[in-house]
Amino acid sequence: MFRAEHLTKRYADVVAVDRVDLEVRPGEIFGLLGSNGAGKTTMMKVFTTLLRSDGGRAYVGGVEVRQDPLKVRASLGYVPENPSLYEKLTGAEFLGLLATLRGLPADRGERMIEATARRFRLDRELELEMDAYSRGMRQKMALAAATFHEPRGLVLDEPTNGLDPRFTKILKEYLREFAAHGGTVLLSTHITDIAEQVCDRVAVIHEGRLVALGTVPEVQEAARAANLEDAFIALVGDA
Amino acid sequence: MSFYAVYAADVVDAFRALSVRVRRRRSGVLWFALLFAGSVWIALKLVELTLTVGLPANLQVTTGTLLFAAFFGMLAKGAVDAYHRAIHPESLVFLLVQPVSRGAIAFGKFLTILWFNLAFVAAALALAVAFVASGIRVPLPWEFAASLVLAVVSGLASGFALAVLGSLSTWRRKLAGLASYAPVIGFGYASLVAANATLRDSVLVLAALTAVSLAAVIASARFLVEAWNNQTAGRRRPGKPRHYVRLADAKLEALVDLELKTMVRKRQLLLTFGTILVVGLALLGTYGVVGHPAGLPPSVAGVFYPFILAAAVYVAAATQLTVPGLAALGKELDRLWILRSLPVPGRTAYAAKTIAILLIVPVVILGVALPLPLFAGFPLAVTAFVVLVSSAACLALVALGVYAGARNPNFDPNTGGLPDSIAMYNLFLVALVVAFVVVAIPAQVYQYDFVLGILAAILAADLAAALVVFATKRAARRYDAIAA
Repeated sequence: MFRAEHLTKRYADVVAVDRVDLEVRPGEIFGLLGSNGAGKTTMMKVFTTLLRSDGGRAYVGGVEVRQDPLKVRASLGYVPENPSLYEKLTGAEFLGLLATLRGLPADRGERMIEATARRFRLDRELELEMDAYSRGMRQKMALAAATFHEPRGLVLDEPTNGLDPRFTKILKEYLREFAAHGGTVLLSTHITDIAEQVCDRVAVIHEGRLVALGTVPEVQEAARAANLEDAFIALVGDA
Repeated sequence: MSFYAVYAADVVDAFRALSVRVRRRRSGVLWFALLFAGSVWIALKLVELTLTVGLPANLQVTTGTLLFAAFFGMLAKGAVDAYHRAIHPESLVFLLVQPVSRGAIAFGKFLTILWFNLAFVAAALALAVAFVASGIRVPLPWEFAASLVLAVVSGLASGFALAVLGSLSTWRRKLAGLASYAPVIGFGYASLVAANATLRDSVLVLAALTAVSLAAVIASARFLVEAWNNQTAGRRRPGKPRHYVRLADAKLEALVDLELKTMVRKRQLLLTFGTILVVGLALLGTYGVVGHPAGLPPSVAGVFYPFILAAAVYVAAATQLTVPGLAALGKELDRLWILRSLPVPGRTAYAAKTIAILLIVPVVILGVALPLPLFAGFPLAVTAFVVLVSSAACLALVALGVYAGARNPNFDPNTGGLPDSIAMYNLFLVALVVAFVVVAIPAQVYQYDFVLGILAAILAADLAAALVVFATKRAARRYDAIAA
């Protein structure tokens, strides 16, 4: 579903993503682990067509992202690290807008929004303007916006930011269900526990390069560590 | 000295942001310097001409009137700056939770606003002194310069206080706050304009106004947290959703609706209509006071109303049509991910922004361009010509704002997406030139033959509409290229 071939992205002199090769298979939950500034968000933004790479290629569902960005966007749902929303729209208006822009028929869009709002416990907040939302509510709304249209792939940048433990559990269950139905998830997280619990495979990124790739036990074994947290520190250093 | 720490940090932050933009567009700074000097020169020449030719017999413009106009203009600027710098930013929380008084925070923020605006006025005054020394015959007594500086300080401080009071949580509190400050503005009007104050009296009046308004800045700090909370954490249920427009393209309709809903709920549209109404009423008020412009040479009397009508349309169009275009992309940075991660082409996204601005054009025509010709009984052909060239000017200024806003977007959250003062000033002057060209050519043709003149005005409006399409397409390309 997601494939990177020698993917490279530079910001002036800084190489944020350095010749990364990666493949995420359909039905897989794939975790990107890395320190702050390691290049996770940059790589995700290239896959979602928000950034243009400087070298290499990125594919989503077999489509090269620069060739047909609209098709790529139609197949994905995305949650950024700090989602800013249209503060003067209500949650219902926001999701209604996205349904229209995704070309969903009105009645189908409404049904999908209702189902998503119930799943993410947003029913009561839908009629409020979003500048009234707490951090957690914004995150839930961003997750609802990314998932309500039943995409084939999800790109989630630190999806548990601001979520309480109860909702984090709901999200993990949803992601497993989504993958079980053939959906693909590419998520980044700082929290190694979450990667251990939900990810089928993980990649550790350090200074723009892939330093480890495999299932959680494979990465632990490669780093000769007892758990993923220790493996991560062994791979990227503790500085 | 905690107010100084707030001020210093704010100035450093704003100055670095400005430096980055200046480094990116060095030629813009040179243009700014030339245009700024040129506009001060033109303003002085206009004053010189007015002193020679005189004004219509019924139109009393004294130095008191000019100083009150400066005070009032700076009040508006101070209110906008205070809203963006001190009331709306979510980052204010980092200051509000520190163990310092709210007065220190408000005063520090006010000093930042004062610094930039006063630097601008000081530069204009220095240029004026240089031009007067080089031979322009305009008296520039020290009392006027001192009064002008005081008008700027008191206007900005009043604007700051009014922005805080106008941001309180309920309409009753807003109105009570604004009403409590009304006597200060009334005192300024009565002393400077109604009482026809001498220059020396003006210095004293404005010194008193400055002291009161600075105290108001400190006093308004008591309400700063309420204003900030009200602006950053609303809890509104706007009721049943409604659509503002119907268009054939569902995606375009949804995006235009988004723009309009945001404008309505942020009360930008109310401000737009209010400004257009004030400009239109000022125009009619001038006609009511002056009537036939007696006391002027016939050549000047003939162009008196066309000139002030054109000036009014320019002011309304530049502030209400060009400015929204300038901010269209800059205000979106944090939210760019939403549309950019959807299957919506950039041209649709940007067309929606342009259409939302274009919907204001008829309001400018009906509110500013049309009333004066109707009340003054202009012939039908002249009225039609005025409407056509005003439409052409409005469309051209929409195109300019859309193009410039996408070419050099400002993503500084403190400015609401508006460009820095230098870029804004350059743009306003370019807008003046564009509007002049769009209006002057058909006007010349009209003087030769009115039918051809009207045809020329229609052609100008067509060309301006084509410019809007061109600007939107170019802006969409920029929109697609920006990294979200």
